[in-house]
Amino acid sequence: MEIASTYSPNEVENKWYEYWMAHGFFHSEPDEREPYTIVIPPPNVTGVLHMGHMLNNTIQDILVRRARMMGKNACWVPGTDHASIATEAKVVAKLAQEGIKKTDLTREQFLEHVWEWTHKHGGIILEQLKKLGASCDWERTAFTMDEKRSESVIKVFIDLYNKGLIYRGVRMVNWDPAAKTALSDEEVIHKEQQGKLYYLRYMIEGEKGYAVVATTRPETIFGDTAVCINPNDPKNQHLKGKKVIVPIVNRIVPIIEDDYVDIEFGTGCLKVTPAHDVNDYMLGEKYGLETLDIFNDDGTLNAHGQQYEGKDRFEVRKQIEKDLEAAGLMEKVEPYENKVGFSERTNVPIEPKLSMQWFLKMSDLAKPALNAVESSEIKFFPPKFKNTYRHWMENIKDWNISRQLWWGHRIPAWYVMEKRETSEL
Amino acid sequence: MANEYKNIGVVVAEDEAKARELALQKFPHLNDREFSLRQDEDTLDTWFSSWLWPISVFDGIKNPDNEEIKYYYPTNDLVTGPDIIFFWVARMIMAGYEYRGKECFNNVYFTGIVRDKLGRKMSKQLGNSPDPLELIHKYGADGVRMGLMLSAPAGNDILFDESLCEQGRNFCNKIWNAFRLVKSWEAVDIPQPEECEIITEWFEAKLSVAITNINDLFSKYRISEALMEVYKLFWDDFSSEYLETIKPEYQKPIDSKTYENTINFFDKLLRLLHPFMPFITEELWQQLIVRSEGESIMIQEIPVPKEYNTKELSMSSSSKNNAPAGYYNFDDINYTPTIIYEFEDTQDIVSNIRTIRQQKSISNNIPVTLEIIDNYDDENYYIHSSYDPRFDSVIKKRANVSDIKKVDKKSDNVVSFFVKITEYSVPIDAFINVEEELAKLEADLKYHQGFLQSVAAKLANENFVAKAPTQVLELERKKQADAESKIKSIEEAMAAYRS
Repeated sequence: MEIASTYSPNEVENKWYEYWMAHGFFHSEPDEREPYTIVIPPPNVTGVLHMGHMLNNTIQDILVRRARMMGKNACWVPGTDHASIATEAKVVAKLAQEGIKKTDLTREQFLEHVWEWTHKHGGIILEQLKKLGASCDWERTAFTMDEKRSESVIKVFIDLYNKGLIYRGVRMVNWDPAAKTALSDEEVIHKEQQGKLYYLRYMIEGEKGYAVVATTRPETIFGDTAVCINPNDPKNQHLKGKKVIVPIVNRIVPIIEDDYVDIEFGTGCLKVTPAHDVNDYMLGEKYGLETLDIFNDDGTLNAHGQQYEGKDRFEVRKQIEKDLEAAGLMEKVEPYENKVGFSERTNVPIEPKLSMQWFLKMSDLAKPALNAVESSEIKFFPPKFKNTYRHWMENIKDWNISRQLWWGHRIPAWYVMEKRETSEL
Repeated sequence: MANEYKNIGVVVAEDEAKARELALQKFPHLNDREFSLRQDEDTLDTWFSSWLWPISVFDGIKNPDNEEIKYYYPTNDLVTGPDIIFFWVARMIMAGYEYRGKECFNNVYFTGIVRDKLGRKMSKQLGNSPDPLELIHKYGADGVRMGLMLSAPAGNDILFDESLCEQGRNFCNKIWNAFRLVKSWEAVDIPQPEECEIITEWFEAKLSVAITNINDLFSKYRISEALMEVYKLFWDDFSSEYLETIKPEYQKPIDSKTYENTINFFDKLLRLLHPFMPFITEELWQQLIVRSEGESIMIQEIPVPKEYNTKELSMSSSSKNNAPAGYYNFDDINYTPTIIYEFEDTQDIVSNIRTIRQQKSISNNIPVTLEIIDNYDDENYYIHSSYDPRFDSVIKKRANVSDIKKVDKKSDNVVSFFVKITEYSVPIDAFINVEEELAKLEADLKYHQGFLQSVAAKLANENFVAKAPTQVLELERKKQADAESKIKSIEEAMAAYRS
């Protein structure tokens, strides 16, 4: 037999991959042997292979091939994820290039575009995995939005709802103004940002003096419904029981007292904007303050923004700085570093926003899952991740499972709309 | 018109017909009222489908008692990135207990994040993310797989450097060339040379130890280290030691017994390598002997270690976790085939002789003799010496030694070396060109004298001595002393040549 003088991987690789496929070596059916199963972390259906996938799938293939050679019935299940927000964003961007706005389309029309995109780009990544040598059981390829998987999702939603674990409620959510959807806490990345701290003057009603309020977000003054001081703050005793006038907005709001306010921060006076800050929302709940949502879904100001209506939140921030200076209502501006939450998907700053969402109660579900890892029924390699896991599971919050998107499993909830009596109209 | 209808509640159901049924149950008065149903506009978080993945891929949600889910679930291993531990891993675990009452997998292997060699996250914007398919085209899939694994300890970020793929490709070429070498030999029915017999026994032991180590590393998910183990086994032990020892002289045949053993070893090595490098191993395994259609390395058994009886084993304690002197850590004791230790001396002897050849410019083609300085009487000899004559044939072949003999006393004009407590020497009389040696020593002497002068000048400088920190002064004085002793030994060597 003649052996080539040098190794030519490209010919060899295609030849043997086809051979393995033709002989069904990757396919598994239940039998009397011990099973060895891996499910692939499903990549985004319209994604392409990157180095992270390469590493991850090389490791899986090593484990699967070795298990197979150890006489186990090895089964590696491949598949893809519909990746609702990422895919929807890609299609929205593609339509925008063609001059089509999502809002011009019906849900059905838009979904037709997404399916078309999915069929065109879907599964490319799985073909790429074959080049790496991945010995997946391709006959089992699954998709999170295929019929079986979709029916499973809907069944689970109904089941958890009937168990009382899924509920609907108004909560402060992480709003992504670019994707126009709420995100879970885990989808928000907090980053240090170089910003400014603005010191605003709130005139005291019926007096000559004013209170100075420090804020990083002067554009939210349109949603201010109180100013809060710490009752133990000697600097601000004179404000107790007074009312102040929100600059530019000219709304009269009460001074409230709560020891939540940090005496050391800024002037010790906190503007309270219940619709756009999680902590302010809690103060609002506690003191029965009005909640004024000043933003549209895309991050522009709504009618509450008065003369700034229709302008983007960051544009308003710049403009209002000038306008406050001009009106003599700006004490000073300092450079300031703070943490800002960004959307994991669109990388725009998150807007805390009150919204009606569906939630899954997590505390009962978390218990057995925490035990499993603590008792090493499920082992982590390297084990250092046990700590990360424990910390999260012990402090778990309810999961916001609804997204204001069209690409995905539509929530199987139906609002019962009763026709009014003529007398009610 | 919107006000024509009012929302009186919500029902949750898989379709509108079922929802209508539920609405009528929940609100019986609707039986004689007009009403409509409006489905929620929102969709579910993507992770709300992927958290069911280990169950739903076997249809275990809709058909919880089907044969597949019963057989394949719980799954064994999950391989994923630590960045989705909450998004996905934790939630899958929760769904597993909620819907199967059992863990969804037994082990989670967290890979590192792939970064560039400067430690930056790979991104399109930075342009530091290589195209995987281009890499595969350039280095072969096996080369890229190996490149990734060489840089991938579990859980730590991996700094990816394309040169690692090159290393992977080079390893493919190494395997390929070793295979071509073996396949170029003609096997005939001749007696097996002694060195082939002993090196076969040694490599078998090496292979067995490596398999045991690889199994252990896999059980701890130390996959990169497992690859390093098989890489070294192939490169150092198989290619550099074993093949070099059995290699017949140019155009001479090999004995068929050794040849068969070699094919057998190659087969085992390919099988050990297959999970890491599936393509080249299949290609060579198919060519190793005649195969029939439908055979494949991927469905062969992974090699198992050879069983040794206790007489053939030596106790060793792992060097990584040494117990304090006087204590034995019994968990930490390995039993290793004795031949591996014994052969280490042979490897040392061969490498020492090669060094002498280099230093003294003795070509590899010219045989030398090796003398073992035997100061002990025969009775005590084996107690004091680690030298074992059964490896003589290997030394002779690998170092081109014509004769190995014991001597009572070191001869003149030898270069000697120690391996453990035994002293060996190679007589060099026949190879020495006195003029050349003297010239070399002369040049050496000049260099060291010059160096000594410059150090002495520094130390004679009062200003320097007064200002320099103590450590610097000490260092300079040490340099001076070293140079002086070096000069002395060169002068002695020159005197010896002249006498």
